[in-house]
Amino acid sequence: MYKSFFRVIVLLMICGVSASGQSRLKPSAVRFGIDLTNVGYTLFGSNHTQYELNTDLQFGKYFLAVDVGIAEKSYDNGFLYQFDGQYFRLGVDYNFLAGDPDDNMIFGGLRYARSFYSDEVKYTIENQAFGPHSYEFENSIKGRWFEIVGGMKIRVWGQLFLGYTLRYKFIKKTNGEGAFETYEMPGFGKVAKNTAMGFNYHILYRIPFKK
Amino acid sequence: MKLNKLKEISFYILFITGFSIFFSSCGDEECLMTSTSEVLIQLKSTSTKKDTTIVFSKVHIVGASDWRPVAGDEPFNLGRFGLPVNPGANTTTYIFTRLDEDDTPVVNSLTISYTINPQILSSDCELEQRYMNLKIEESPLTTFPELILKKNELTISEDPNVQIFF
Repeated sequence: MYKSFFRVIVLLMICGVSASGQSRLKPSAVRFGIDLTNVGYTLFGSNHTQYELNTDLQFGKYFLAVDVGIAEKSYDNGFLYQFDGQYFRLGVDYNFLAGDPDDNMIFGGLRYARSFYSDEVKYTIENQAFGPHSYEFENSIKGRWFEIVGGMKIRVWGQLFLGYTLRYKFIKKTNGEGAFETYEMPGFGKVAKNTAMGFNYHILYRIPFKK
Repeated sequence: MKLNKLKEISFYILFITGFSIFFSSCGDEECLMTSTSEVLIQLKSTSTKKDTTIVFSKVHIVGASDWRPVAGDEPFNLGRFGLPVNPGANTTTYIFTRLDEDDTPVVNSLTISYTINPQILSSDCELEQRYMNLKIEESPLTTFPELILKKNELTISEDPNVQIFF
């Protein structure tokens, strides 16, 4: 699992750095941020806790992007379903506004994402002939998917940026399902469909490197 | 200044577009349940291979409380009928008692096995419990002359799961 992960990292870095030219081998800035969409869900939603950190490292027009998140959620609707896990995304963005004096960006890019989580379902069935019966099922899941992303990051004050990312998630795969089909994967969403859309709103702080 | 204004406008346009695309893709999910907890049995004639009916003096489900396959008193004249599976086990045995031409009781049994799989259709729907991988098992009692498994999942359908030949 980790071999393929590191292969992807190395490949993305080679692609990003080599494409940005020899003079841009060193990164010029790094941005750290948080996903406000998930903070909103956590504060105002019920039974949902999710936090996501966003980072990008600038190599000229290219950005090496890394997102790391944790998520915990439960549903209670005649049955109890809950999941708890982590995820990360790794990829490269291309800035269509390269050279902008404010370092604003309109970007498009690709991500490789993985999720590691456990989920469980508990419920009781009433049966006319056999009476009630309670069940508990658990899964320990590893999942992966890819994303095509696009969005903007705009300087609002000093080194502070606001931005958003629209995500199209595809080629989803999960491993480790037992007696029941997992319902939701942290970072991906509902797994019944092979594709999913995502939207994140970020606040980021940029740290330029000295030349 | 004009460039900044242009960027600001394009930021909001793209933000609204992205937001709209995202939420337009979040449609309501359907709560269509297709599973049942009853195995559908069809009785067939060994000689003609056509549907038939048999009068049973008793149909007993091992582990179940007093349960009748049809409303009313015994005996039951059955041709196509559903029998509940035990949701607390992976096998269920049914014992059928009928009288032959000499009024001698004949007991036959049918044991089926299955796996139980819960499926969450949506957080707004009830959970669906699926009974899958249905198999006819060797029964501890005398079984029927011929049993055929026609469908290995319990779904709401006219198609029988098991055909019993007499």
